[in-house]
Amino acid sequence: MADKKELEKSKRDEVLRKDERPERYIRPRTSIQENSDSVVLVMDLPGVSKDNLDIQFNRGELTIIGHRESWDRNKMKPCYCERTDGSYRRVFSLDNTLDPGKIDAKLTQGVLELVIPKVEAAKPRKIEIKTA
Amino acid sequence: MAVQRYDPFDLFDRMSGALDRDLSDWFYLPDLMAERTSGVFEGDWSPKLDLYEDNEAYFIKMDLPGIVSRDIDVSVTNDVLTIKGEKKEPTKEDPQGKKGWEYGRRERVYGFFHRTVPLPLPVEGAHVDAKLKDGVLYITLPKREEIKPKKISVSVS
Repeated sequence: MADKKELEKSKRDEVLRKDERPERYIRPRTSIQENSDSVVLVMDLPGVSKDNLDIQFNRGELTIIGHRESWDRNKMKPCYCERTDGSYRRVFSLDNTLDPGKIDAKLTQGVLELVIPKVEAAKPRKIEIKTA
Repeated sequence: MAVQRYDPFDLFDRMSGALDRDLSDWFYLPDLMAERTSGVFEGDWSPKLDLYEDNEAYFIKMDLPGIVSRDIDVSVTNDVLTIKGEKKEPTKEDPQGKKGWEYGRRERVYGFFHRTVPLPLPVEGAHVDAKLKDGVLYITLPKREEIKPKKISVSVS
């Protein structure tokens, strides 16, 4: 009986936690380039260091989350604000022509470069013509 | 009071979030998406900045992803700060040195920028500190002694 109550409580907490999740994310500007071998995503993530960047691939979706330092409003007061404080998040769906197992990520000066290779079967093939 | 700059593309940015869902469905996004402002700022684009203060100094954060420090020029005269520079388009259009790269989507902007920031009060120009870290330019502008708030002790007679 106690267990059941406990379970209900934890379920309720879970729902609550989901509702309380902060949903304000900044969508980073991204350029996408492609050639016959791979697809490259180049993303502006100013203020994000390597330790604060989280890249995950799950069920066909590539999720990039980057956290950055906000202003300490207890110590300082704003005069002029154009930037949005908060974290970056962007989700991309990868179709099965891309190989998520071999993604290569590089972060330099707030710019993330993701190289996603195409699977062999999706690469263009030149067909040789034999002469009889 | 904090002033928020109006960004006409912010809403558009958020609306098109739904388009992220499918990589196979790319389309070319015109420069509409780019951070372009007219009139007030010179240059091809206008990087965003924040200005904060405490009792001792003014602090600036400016988003400059992918820019090297030698391409940034910061100068200050009394109460005006000027930041200019150039975000260079990578010379290797092909990220891995291979031929035949095509853009599927182009949201990042390149080119010259030039911003003049009026400061609320004059600063100690000789002690301005600027550093670039993770694509953000941090500038600290110490306030002049004469404008810093001073604590006055009240003596009892």
